[in-house]
Amino acid sequence: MTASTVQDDVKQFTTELLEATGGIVEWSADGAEGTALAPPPVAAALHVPAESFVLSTQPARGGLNVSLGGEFLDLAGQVLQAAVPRVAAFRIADRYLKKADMAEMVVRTFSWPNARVRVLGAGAAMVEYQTWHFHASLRSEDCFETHVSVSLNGRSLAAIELPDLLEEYDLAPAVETAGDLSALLEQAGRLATSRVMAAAAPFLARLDARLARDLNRLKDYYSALLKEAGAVNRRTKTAPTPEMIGAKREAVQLELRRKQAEVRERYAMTATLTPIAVVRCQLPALAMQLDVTRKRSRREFVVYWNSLLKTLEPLACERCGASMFCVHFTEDEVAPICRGCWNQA
Amino acid sequence: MDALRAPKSAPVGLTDPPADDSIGGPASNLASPGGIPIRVAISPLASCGSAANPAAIRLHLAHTRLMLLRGFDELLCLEGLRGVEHLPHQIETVRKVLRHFRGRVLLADEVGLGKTIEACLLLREYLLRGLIRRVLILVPAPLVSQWREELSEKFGLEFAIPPRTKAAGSPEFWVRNDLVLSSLSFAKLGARAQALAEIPWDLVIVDEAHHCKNRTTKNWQLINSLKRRHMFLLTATPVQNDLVELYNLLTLLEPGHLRTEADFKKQYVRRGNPRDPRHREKLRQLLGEVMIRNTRSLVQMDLPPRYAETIQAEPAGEEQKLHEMVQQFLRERTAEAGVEAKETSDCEENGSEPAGEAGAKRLTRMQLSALLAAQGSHPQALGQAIASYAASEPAAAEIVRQAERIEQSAKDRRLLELIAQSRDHKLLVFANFRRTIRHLQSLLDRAGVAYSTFSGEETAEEKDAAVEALRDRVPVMICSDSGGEGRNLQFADTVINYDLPWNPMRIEQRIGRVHRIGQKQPVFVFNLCTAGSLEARILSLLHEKIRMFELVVGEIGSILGNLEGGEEFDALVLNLWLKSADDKDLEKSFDQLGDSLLSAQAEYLQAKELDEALFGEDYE
Repeated sequence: MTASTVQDDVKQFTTELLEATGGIVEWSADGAEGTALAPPPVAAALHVPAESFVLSTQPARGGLNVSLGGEFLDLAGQVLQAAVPRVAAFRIADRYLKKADMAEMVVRTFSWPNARVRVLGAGAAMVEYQTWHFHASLRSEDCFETHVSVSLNGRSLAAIELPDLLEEYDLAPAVETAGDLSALLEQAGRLATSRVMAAAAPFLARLDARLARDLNRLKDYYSALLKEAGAVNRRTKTAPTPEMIGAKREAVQLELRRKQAEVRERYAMTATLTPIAVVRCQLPALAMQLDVTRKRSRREFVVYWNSLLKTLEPLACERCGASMFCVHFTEDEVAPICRGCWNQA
Repeated sequence: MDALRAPKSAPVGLTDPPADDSIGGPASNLASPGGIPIRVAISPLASCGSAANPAAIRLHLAHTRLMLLRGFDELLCLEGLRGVEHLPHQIETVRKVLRHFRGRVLLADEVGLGKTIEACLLLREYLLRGLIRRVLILVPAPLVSQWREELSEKFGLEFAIPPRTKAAGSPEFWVRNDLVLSSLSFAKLGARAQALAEIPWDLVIVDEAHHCKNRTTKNWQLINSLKRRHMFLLTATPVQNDLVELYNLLTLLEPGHLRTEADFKKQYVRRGNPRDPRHREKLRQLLGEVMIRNTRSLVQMDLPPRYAETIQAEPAGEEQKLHEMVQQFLRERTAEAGVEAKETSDCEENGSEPAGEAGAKRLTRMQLSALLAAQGSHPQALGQAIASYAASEPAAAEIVRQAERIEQSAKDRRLLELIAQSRDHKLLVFANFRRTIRHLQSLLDRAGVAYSTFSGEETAEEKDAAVEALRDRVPVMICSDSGGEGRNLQFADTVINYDLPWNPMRIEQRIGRVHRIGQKQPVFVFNLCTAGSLEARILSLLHEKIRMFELVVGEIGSILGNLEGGEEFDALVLNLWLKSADDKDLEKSFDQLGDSLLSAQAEYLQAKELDEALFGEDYE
């Protein structure tokens, strides 16, 4: 990436933002400056004095400086929040659905240790999928920020690795959208969190190393104090009594614990996930009903054959939400759980 | 429908797919691998309605991406680097400077931790983001070429060096070039200082910034006079003698950060001992806002020791005669016609051609140093270097013939002995001249020693194969100076300098190919030289006087930076040769240079000790 591509990206974003909010933009031939016309509320939100204003990649008097520096991106964020919807709903009406017997595929894709599974039947269904985009930040002594996205099946709640839905050629506006978005936010957030943790691994390792170093420093310092507890007083040249030594040692250890707790407190982290946008899309899918028997318990599940991926989708762990193809069960009932939860159970 | 059943005999879990099968996991009660608790908060969706508009979603995503770019979470500077081995502490420093220091910082890492890399990464990041355009880098004269090469080869940044002519005194040169690299000693003098001060700079970088510790010096006054938005000061030893020097440096960065000098002294300097700070913690806190210091103990970067030995080869017979002939030829020629002061390199303006017979015979400094260096490398390299003079000068033609008579030099014999003694070691043999490399290839072929070659003549695939061969099959790799830069050659543990660059920074670069992070074994350095040669004198200075080969990586740069005068080390060596009438004279001059090096080293060591006491091993 070069300086010119970053600048070009900012300029393109500016153009699209203003056009999306009812404005017009024209850039000069060399691309360094432009002129814009924006509706009064947008112009006001961008802190420009008039509806018609100059755009510049360098700070310019009376104009709008569009660059990574300065306040432009903050103001643009406010305009986006006020005027541009974060949720888009679509429908892909027609896709090929597999017609062959699915039992073989289920065998190949899933494993069900110690359970008996039968495919009861399969049928076409329109299923809503959602792709959630999050801004994620981890804050402590230092800060880590990133963008993560997760897609999930609105019915099974399983995470699916969908392609970019916005790139699909036959995307059409949704006829109607059912269901509450907030119902899926929790699951999407949970899945996104685990991706953030993976992406932040080097950052976490750095903070771990710093915390260990600070704790070691404290330990070294207070160990030195502990050693001095029995030392002879230089001024009075008297040795402390065993009681005095004991009391001093106790006080030092107490102080060490307090300081360690303070340091740990300082390093404690907060991960914040903020939804940026949600793409909802109704897709044709093949829904297969499975009958699962384990010991004396029995339960029916639906697994989906995805028409975009042309493959079976995983199930979601009923405890943590993780996707899984190897389905374990709790001892008492046929509640599918992932290997991690099964190990903990 | 068929009944599907997992094999009964399989215990639960045995048929599990790989662990990465799972996506997601519990979002509460998270902790880092080291146990730091992580509280997770998921904000609600701040919605303003729904639309079937892909552009709206893309707009939000573009905004987020740009916000992340602005926040410096995604560094642009790491892409497209060539041979730069950036370390985690350097990346962390870059992020810290971008996020918290707003482009004004004193980079005070301990020697060898890569302040230059940090500064160059920061410079590249600012340039790539379009946040700066005009950059001035001021460095000690001995480090100019090192900086220029690194900027160009590793970071793809071409900096202009001011010409040593009157043109540098006019603002035109400084205005015309957006990226300028100059020695501080050159920039501060005459009309140049004024010209520099009149022009605005987006970023000024000052290497070895402790040379600006004193407010009354031209160095400090020049930096203070520059109109600049951002500034990086680089030094491993910000305090050389007393704390007021630190005050002076930080005042260049952030005037008023430490208030007035009187306030600073009153608050932080112990009366009677200007090196001993009062209110140490408060001072550290203030320093932490403008200064970053990574230490070896903090970044856990301790390398195994390195040992060096100089091996002098005694030339005899034809070889001895050749060296005498070359010395006589060069001495006579320079005495007769002098040496062209101006170089024809691109950093100098071409003067008019010298006239007459003397002018035609006159060597440029570059030609002379090339001939002397070839003499120090191998007779065949010398023969090739001097061949261009053979047509017009019988003495040169005789030298070429004499060089051709020598099949195996004294250094060759010592090299073969060394290789024979170094079984179970992996050796890098460095040579500066292509002709010498070819000679070494045939020497090793004849001796039946297996080797690979890594030089500028090989293709990328051949270079990969050479490294692989050294790792797996052969004991020796013949390298040119560019050999293996940025490659992981830590499996080798021995460096043999078959010939020697005159610039100590280049010698250190050679050793740095193996004595770097990841090296687990002690490193051995063998320097081959011909007795009585210029290289032997340089080695005696560097090895015996300042023990260069035992210094920590980077220390030689700090010592050279303390050398007085505005010239690079190789230029100094050439000057000594030119000013000396004979070997005795030359020896005397080298002794004086040795004394200067020793005082530069003492100055550095004193400052280093003081800074370690002041900032401790764990400054952050």
